[in-house]
Amino acid sequence: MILIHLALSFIRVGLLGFGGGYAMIPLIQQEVLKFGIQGPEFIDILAISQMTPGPIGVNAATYTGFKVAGLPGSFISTFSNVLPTFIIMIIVAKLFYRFRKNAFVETFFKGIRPVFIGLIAASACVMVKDIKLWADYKAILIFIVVLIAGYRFRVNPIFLILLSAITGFLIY
Amino acid sequence: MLPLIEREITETKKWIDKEEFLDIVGISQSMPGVMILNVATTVGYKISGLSGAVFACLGAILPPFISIVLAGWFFIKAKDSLAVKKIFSGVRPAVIALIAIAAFNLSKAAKINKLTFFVLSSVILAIVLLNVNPLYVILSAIAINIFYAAWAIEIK
Repeated sequence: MILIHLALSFIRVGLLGFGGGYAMIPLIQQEVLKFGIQGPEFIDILAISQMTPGPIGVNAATYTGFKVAGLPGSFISTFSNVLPTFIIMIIVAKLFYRFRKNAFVETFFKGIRPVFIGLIAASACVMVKDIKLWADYKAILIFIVVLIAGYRFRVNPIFLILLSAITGFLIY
Repeated sequence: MLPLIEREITETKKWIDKEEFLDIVGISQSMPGVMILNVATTVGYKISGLSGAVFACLGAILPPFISIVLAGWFFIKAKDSLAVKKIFSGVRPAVIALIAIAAFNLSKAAKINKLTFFVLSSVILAIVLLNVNPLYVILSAIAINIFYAAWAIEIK
């Protein structure tokens, strides 16, 4: 039964996560509530998904499935997450040349993009609330350093995660 | 990751040419799901039909799948240890910062104007202050943009 719920949740995520792995995060954040995963626990899922190779959206699905229902759970979640787009991409590949310069499709995706940017930003805000970031000056410091290093100086995200893991181990 | 795939597919294996590869990337970006997997699926399909698509997609999923299951197994075992707790206290703010960076980068690429800024901030407010389910935000955005795109083409 839990496997069916996982499948339905991640089919929804895969189908509606336009615009890549990060766009899936707000959707997954909502779906995992049904499995009792929230707040810091969800951020930990993202941390592990960020650290391991592969797209963060799919990794988060795999790990959520694993946490909720072991190996079968991780298998079902990954499969369901990928399936909707897989089918869509097969259809698109068939129609590829007609699809390539379609004004309707282009306008549609241009319009939908800011919504997803807003959703991603909102998921970060919700996480700030979840761990009460403002109440912990060490966490604020790590947050600011990573923000500047990653955005301004384009430091590799995996490196930043590892560095903050070591920092966490040393200062907490 | 993308330049690596491009070299492998267009130069080493010579499966498809560069121009077609770029088209595939363009379309993959605007589809739901993860871009890399969409690219793998489409390239696989172009080369050898449905079975090509299935195997290309499986090949792209399998390595992360294995590493995440191993990492997951380890962290679930070790989650009550003090060291892991400390590590995650340091990692959590970093993860949030990385997601914020992703949002910044995407908005830079999307060339935000007044209207899109309004849309973007309304979405943030709806989710953070009003606890609206993102699912409804996306479904209404899809509906509105289908009508908008149809109308925009009509007046052209």
